[in-house]
Amino acid sequence: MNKREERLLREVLAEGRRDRFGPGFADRAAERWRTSRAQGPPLGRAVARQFGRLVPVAAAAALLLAVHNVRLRERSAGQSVVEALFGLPPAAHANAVRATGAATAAAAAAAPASTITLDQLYGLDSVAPSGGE
Amino acid sequence: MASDVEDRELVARAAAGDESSFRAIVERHEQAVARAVTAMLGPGDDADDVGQETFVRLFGALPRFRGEAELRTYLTRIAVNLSCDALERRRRRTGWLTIGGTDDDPPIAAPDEGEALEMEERKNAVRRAVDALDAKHKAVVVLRMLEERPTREVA
Repeated sequence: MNKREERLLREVLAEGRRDRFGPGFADRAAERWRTSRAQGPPLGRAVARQFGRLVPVAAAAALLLAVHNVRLRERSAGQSVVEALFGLPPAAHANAVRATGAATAAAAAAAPASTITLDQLYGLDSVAPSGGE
Repeated sequence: MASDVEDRELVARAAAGDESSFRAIVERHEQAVARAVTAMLGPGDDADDVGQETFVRLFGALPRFRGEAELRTYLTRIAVNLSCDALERRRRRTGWLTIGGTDDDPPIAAPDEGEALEMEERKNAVRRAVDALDAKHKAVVVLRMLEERPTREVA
């Protein structure tokens, strides 16, 4: 860009530039500032502040729970520190089989003695037949 | 330097709710903000609105203002960011950016008619090129070419 082009660019940019806003700008800005203060912080900032207050409490609770798990839970054979920390059963094949078996038995016990028809399922068994119309 | 100290005092007082200190900040820095905003948006209601919002936002941004930078620099940064947002909104609204000058502006004085015409054509070409810039690139051009801010600050 040569000097002349640079000068043109400056002139074009300066066309709209003003040194002051319109008269009474300070009054308008102060009014807006008052309104803004009266309304309090925007929602996002308020939520962030509340979250900030909750963080130490949540962190302390998590720490207490972890200590509780580590101290009171008997570490079974093969249980890693992480599992003890989070109070998880040891991840072993036997445990998985036991858990699956228990779930299957519970599902069988909860199942109704007889099967139901689709009509019963959708509540259609109470609808009287049309009578051959 | 004395001005910096006073700025910091004014900011502290305004942050505590003192309206006269807020007004003092506005009056002291209106020129810097107005120059940046009107160079980006042109004069008008949009610029006035962004100008007001700049001073209001200053107090929202105070926790991040450590007093290391001049208040004027800090305000200009807020003003340019808000102007970029306003330009984007304007572009979405109208599909085209317009710079402050109007077609009624008198042409630059030139010794003869032919040269004046050529100058005006060149100016129109530059105007179209500036109008075609996106908001962030326009901010770079305004800050560097018009406000003559150092490259580091512009970056």
